[in-house]
Amino acid sequence: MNMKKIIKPVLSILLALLVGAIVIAVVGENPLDIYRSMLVGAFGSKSAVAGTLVKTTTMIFVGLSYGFAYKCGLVNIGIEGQLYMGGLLSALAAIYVELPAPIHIPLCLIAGFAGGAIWGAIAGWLKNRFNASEMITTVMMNYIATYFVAFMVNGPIKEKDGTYPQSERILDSARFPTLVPGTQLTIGILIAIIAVVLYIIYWKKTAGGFEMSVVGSSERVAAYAGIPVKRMIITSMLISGGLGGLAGAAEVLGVQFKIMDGLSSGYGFDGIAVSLLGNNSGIGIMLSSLLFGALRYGGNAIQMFTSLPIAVIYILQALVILFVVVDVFRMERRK
Amino acid sequence: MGSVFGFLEVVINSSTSILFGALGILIMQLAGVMNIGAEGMMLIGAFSGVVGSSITGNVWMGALFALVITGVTGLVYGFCTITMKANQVVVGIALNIFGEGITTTLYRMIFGMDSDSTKVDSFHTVGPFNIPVYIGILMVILLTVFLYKTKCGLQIRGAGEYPKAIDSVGMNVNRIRYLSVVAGSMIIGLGGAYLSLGDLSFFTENMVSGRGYIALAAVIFGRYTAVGTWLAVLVFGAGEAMVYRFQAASIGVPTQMILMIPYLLTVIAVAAFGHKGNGPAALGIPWSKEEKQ
Repeated sequence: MNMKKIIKPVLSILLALLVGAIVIAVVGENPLDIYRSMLVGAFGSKSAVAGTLVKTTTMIFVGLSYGFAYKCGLVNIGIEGQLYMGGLLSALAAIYVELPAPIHIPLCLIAGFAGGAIWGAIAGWLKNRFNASEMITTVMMNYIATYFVAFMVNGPIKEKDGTYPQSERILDSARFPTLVPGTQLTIGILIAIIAVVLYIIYWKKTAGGFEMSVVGSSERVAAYAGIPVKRMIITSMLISGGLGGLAGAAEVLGVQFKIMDGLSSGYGFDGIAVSLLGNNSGIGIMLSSLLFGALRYGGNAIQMFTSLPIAVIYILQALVILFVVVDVFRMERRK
Repeated sequence: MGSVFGFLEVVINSSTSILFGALGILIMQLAGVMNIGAEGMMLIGAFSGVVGSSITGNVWMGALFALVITGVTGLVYGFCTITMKANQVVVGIALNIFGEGITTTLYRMIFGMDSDSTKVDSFHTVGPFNIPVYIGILMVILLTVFLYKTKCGLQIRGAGEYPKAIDSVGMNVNRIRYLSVVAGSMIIGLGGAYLSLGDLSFFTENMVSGRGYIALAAVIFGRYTAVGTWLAVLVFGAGEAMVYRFQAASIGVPTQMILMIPYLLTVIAVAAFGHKGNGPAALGIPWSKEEKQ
């Protein structure tokens, strides 16, 4: 049983790499060269490892976000939008509020969580109140959020002296302190690990987590058992959105130090693959975040040193999702 | 009067790609297979349409190429969801991510960064619209007759509503579903091809930008009928036409706020008309003979 849990994702990754290699060969590149430069790009030096861990941080938050909703039976495809709203609110707190660092950073994180949580909760509310499928509303709200942020950085919060559509730089007191001097690695990764621990505790140890997973497996059973289904749905979307918002906050406070149009390059969608590959468990999400973090950071190297665009990693990602969910080896089939 | 007609013209033109997408989704979902992956299918259709027509120099050959490629995509989608019985939502999401990855990669590899190189011919126009617009409207009528007045249509709806009944009269539920998925995917692909060949005559990365999801919303909003779906699509088309109008009029509303309109409209429409109960009863549930349904 436990072996299967490990073998299945590993086989899925290998299969995805294999099929990916065929695609790469078809477009006329050497797959081994591509994979090698990706590996070196992700782990080849101290700064590469740091870069990979920075991406891992983002992946953990978006993975937890998708997993949290998924365990309650919800499909949150709106993490991208929640990330933008979280990034926006944390940037506002980081630019315009002056506080000493020990208070400022937590405040910015709370703001980031709140931004995403509000965005997620709206979809939850629309589902409860109007029976509107969250799969559609969350996707639409991605576009609304990215346009809203684009509007903000082009107008109201655009930097005073500069031509780019971006905000002022955040105050030093809001910046994540660096963890390893001379690299990009900040305390963001520690905050992400704390989030993983809380995620595990919530689902394994608390009554709320148990009730929510009952809603996830069957709304009808949950209703019979007297579990407030609607409240669970909105809470789940709230927290899921909040985790997505934290991904945005981590990006603003630890990587970009400002907010702009292209804050995320599709990170929200990475969360789906991260969570599925990790079987929605805390540890699983952490491990698959490392993989996708490496893929993301190593993907930059592909873009720089080969003729392939970074979009290649989307192909690999989609294949990983597909091989996990299609259950090619029929491991979960009944006898 | 002229400006009203002009507005309608833009509405119909800009909604045609969503119309094809929605009609394809409608067929698939009526047969019981959920399709979140229309976004990816449209993107693949848009790209292969441009490739086909730049190779052959003929826009119709491009559309045909898009049909073939998205038909194959549909076959793979059917294999994953019908034969392998994988979670249809997740397979759909994977397809969307795959579509973005493969089209962007191939686009850069084939055409390079120069967007002019993908400039291709457009469809002929007859009267105010180009030919695919008429095909789309014709398809609404034909589908209505097909789905509600023919035996074949009844079987498709039966496969989605009550597969057990279809099975008990000796018919193969999964074969009906496969045919519906492949046919639906091809129509969705045509929607993508219309976007790159009819609307714009070039391909840009990620050009579908949510239309696949909007098409899905239109099916729900349109209560799972072809005519209802068409009307819903026109509402979204009006949203897009408003975008052009406001942008042209430069009335002082920031561009980004205007660009939100179609998406905001979709959220409102799904909230106002998104009640379940109109959808097929067996939507999203894989069929297998042995298991109790």
